[in-house]
Amino acid sequence: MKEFKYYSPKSLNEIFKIFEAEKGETCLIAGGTDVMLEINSKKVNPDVVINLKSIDEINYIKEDNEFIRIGAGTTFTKLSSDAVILNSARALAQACSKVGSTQIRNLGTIGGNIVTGSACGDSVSALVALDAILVIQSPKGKREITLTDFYSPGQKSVCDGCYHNTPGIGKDEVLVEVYFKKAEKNEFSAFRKLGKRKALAKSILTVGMSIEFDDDKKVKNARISLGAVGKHPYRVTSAENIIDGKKLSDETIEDCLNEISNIVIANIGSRASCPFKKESVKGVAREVFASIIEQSSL
Amino acid sequence: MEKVKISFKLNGENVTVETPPNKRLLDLLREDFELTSVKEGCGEGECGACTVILNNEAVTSCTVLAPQVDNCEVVTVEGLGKDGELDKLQEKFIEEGAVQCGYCTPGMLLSAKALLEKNPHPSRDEIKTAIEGNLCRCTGYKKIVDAIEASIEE
Ligand SMILES: Cc1cc2nc3c(=O)[nH]c(=O)nc-3n(C[C@H](O)[C@H](O)[C@H](O)COP(=O)(O)OP(=O)(O)OC[C@H]3O[C@@H](n4cnc5c(N)ncnc54)[C@H](O)[C@@H]3O)c2cc1C
Ligand code: FES
Ligand code: FES
Repeated sequence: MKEFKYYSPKSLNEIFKIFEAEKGETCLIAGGTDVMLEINSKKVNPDVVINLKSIDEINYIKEDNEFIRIGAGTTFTKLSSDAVILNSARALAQACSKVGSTQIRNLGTIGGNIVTGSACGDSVSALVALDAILVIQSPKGKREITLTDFYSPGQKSVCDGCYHNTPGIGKDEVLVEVYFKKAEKNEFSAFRKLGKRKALAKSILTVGMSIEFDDDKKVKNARISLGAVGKHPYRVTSAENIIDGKKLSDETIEDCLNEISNIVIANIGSRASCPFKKESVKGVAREVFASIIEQSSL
Repeated sequence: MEKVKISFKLNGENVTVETPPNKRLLDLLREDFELTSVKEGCGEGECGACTVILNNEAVTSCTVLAPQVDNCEVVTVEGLGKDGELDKLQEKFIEEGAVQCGYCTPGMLLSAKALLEKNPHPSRDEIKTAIEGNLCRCTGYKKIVDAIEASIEE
């Protein structure tokens, strides 16, 4: 590990003062489950490391009439057992409960998962299906961006020569919150992941889904996301369109699964993993549909 | 390099130490406090040999930066039993033959301890989830799960 200066601020304001005062490369550390490995192996060589675990104001799960709001410093352990998340954002609870191992879930945060921006961020895949919005703060104030735009390939880099994979966040910015609409009465979500080994396996495939039904049990609003089959998790709108306005019969689901498989081929067709993933994605997505149907018929 | 002064509770005692910040919790515990029960296996969060209990939760100490534990509470295996007596979990590990080479054992014990503190009557599945981040290359896990199960208070 390179030598660096260390700060453990108590508030966001303190962080912004540190950003202003320190001219060298700064690096934020939350759970450390990604960045510690990078610092330790000298892939990332910061001059200044700033601890986020000491900042209580980004550690919360709140619910108001319209939205569920999650502080970026909230751990997977909290999210997978929180009553609000379990009831109104099942996909996110399921995704967080499948991250790494107990130890990793106790440390790792949702903010770290989003900013690390790996192809297979489990919570990210669920959050894309929940149509989440990020709140990013800098000394200049707050800005909001949808998670999908945050990762979109066309996203202009706001941080040059930065140490993380995500061009969407600048050097003097902190991700403070992620929020999404509360589920409607007839809206249900689910997530499944395929990993190599149960614990610790970084996902080789994830599917997130959120579906709202109308009173006739027809699909009113569907969002489906795929993870680990591209640079970042993304929505598959052409597959969503197939089920839109229809009842979830075996046939409709099968059509949707075939479209999802086609999207996988279109995105990673040249990769060695494609023959496997184009088939297994159907099985994983079928399970997600089953979870949604089960929830909707209770 | 500018050292940082941190205070935390270690195995029930308040301690203060000055450390260079570029140290993992794993190394702070082994080098500065000579708590060599904390093992390094992979150094990448995968094996669980370095597990400690941090604020009542099991964590991999190789992925924690030492100064991050300022004002926190840390427990290692040295903090388990009392007055020279082994903790019940440790006794059951011996009785059930859950220890072979022993390299994974401190981490296993602490993952199990953190579980039992939160959930005194876990199911076998809950026990397996609690130790899913602890690899053992010797025992095949069954005896470890048996030992944890046997330690559950009636
Ligand atoms: C053994 C192991 C297994 C794993 N398994 C999985 C898995 O199954 N699924 C999965 O998705 N991930 C997995 N991971 C990866 C990792 O645990 C997650 O990505 C986790 O969410 C990272 O969060 P953190 O708080 O530890 O981030 P850190 O490592 O502290 O930070 C990660 C990056 O995000 C930045 N950052 C953190 N918080 C903020 C913020 N609020 N604002 C701005 N920047 C910020 C940091 O500067 C850094 O660049 C695994 C990791 C390990 C070691
Ligand atoms: S040494 Fe920390 S998990 Fe392997
Ligand atoms: S007893 Fe040898 S690694 Fe578990």
